[in-house]
Amino acid sequence: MKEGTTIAPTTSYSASELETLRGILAKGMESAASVLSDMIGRKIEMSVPDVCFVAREDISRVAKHSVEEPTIGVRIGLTGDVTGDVILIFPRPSAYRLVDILMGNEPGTTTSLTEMGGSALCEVGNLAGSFFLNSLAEATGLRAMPAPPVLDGETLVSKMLEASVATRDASAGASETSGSGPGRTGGRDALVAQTVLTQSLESVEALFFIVPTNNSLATILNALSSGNAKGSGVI
Amino acid sequence: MPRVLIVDDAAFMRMRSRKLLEEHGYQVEEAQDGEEAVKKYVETSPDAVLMDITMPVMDGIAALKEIKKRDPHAKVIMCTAVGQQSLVMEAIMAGARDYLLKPFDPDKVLASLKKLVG
Repeated sequence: MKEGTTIAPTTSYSASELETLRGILAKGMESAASVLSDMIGRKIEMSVPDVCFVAREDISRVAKHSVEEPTIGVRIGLTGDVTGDVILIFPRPSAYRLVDILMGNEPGTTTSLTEMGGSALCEVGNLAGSFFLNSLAEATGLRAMPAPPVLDGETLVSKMLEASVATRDASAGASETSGSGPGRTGGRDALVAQTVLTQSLESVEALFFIVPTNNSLATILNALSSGNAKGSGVI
Repeated sequence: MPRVLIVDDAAFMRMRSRKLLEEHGYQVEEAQDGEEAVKKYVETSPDAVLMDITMPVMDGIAALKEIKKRDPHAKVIMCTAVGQQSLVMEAIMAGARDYLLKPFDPDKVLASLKKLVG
């Protein structure tokens, strides 16, 4: 992985609102990283999450750490009070090593993605998306569900992010493109939270993105300001 | 030999669950979505169901409700990564006998099944 292009953030949210969103999303990412550590039985390190708004046309260049060669991606749509996507992207060697860990294989056994290997990676994505939402529910009282994971065995970071924003644009309709909707960014900008997950001993690395819709951001802020979290939580 | 229906859209999770349960003397049937689970439940009348929630076609909560309509005594254990309290309450209210949070913990799965079907 190498450093990506720096993109100037744009937003009409106040600094304190952006800080609140950053904190909520970062906590959700930490929760997801923690459960992935439990799943593979090895400690996963997470870089400090980077959360910023970017203009729609810059979305393909937003990744701080990009992978130029084709990668393996898992995308989990979010439905309910909060909508958007959770995306995990693995360089191929990392994906194969992770499959070996999950399947209990000798290291180096997996050299191509089988149906069962793909299913194992989807389960990793399912856990990441679910625990992100569990953490969000605990903090805000909002209820959202992960959709079944979608695997792309031959993708690029930019392609996955563009697909996520295209889906958002298609489903948001007038509420996010009118320029005065609750997202306050007129549908032109997208908030992207990103971090790098690393399992040093096994040399497994993954890019972890959260791309909530702009309406969801307003919903999260409203829930926090109205104290919806009281009495909610996770088991 | 107690019979358990494993319901999960992830082939990887069905494989792990099947291996664990067969090693501990259970007979296993599988379904990969809620709709197939309801059909297989009616066909095979398993002693217990291990049910994921996030699935295509019909999710686990809807499948639980359909199964309970057909058999009010059905023993269904929800096994999912989604741990939001409101969802847990919905599952319990719909008749789920237990709610296990992923990641998959073999000891918890076996303990829950033992409590329900021995």
